[in-house]
Amino acid sequence: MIHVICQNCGTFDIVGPGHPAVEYDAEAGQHVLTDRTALKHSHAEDCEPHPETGHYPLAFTFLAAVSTGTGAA
Amino acid sequence: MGMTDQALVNKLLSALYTSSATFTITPGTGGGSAFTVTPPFRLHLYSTTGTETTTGTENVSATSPGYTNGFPSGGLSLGSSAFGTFSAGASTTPGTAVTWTASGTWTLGVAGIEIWDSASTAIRYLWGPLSLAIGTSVVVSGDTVTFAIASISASGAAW
Repeated sequence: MIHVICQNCGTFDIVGPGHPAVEYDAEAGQHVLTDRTALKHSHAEDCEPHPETGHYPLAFTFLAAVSTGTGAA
Repeated sequence: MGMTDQALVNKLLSALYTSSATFTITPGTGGGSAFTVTPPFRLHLYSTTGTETTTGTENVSATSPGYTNGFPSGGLSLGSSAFGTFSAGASTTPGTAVTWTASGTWTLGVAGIEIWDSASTAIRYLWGPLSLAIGTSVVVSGDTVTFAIASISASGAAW
């Protein structure tokens, strides 16, 4: 699960499986955030792209990123 | 089904992952070479996730500007005590959020992580795939990639 915040307008999105920005990579067996434009910030009315970079700077924060286990002996 | 008493698992994993000081474990005769644990542990990012026996393909600055790869100084430190005390065989890291700031488009995604120590010949301790990977060219200049407090868990509960 990734928390994505637009650093320009503060709009945030909770991104995980089922979100339109996410696809399932069957080969890797892993869900992948693939489409930046499908994140909520792109619909924020008061948000303008940065004048120099032309995009919205985003903050991607992993909330529950990885679980590692040693497995059964 | 487990095998090792969980109280011992808690002690062993806490000793490994909460220490701020370098220490050496020396096996008895016939038990192989001694090895030294060298904190701080460091978090590294991988475009291809590793396996139980082999490291993955680490992100590099050329394709992930703002990220520094390599050992022993690549990735970012997880602090003087990487994990909290293990309970029920498990604990989490980081204690303080860890953040990279992209200085260009990350043309390779981030699929997994590994945690290595800081020895000159670093040792890999933990690895795993991200619960949600970040794809190619999703992260661009000015973005930040952060691992929130306690976002990474390690468990030896079934050890």
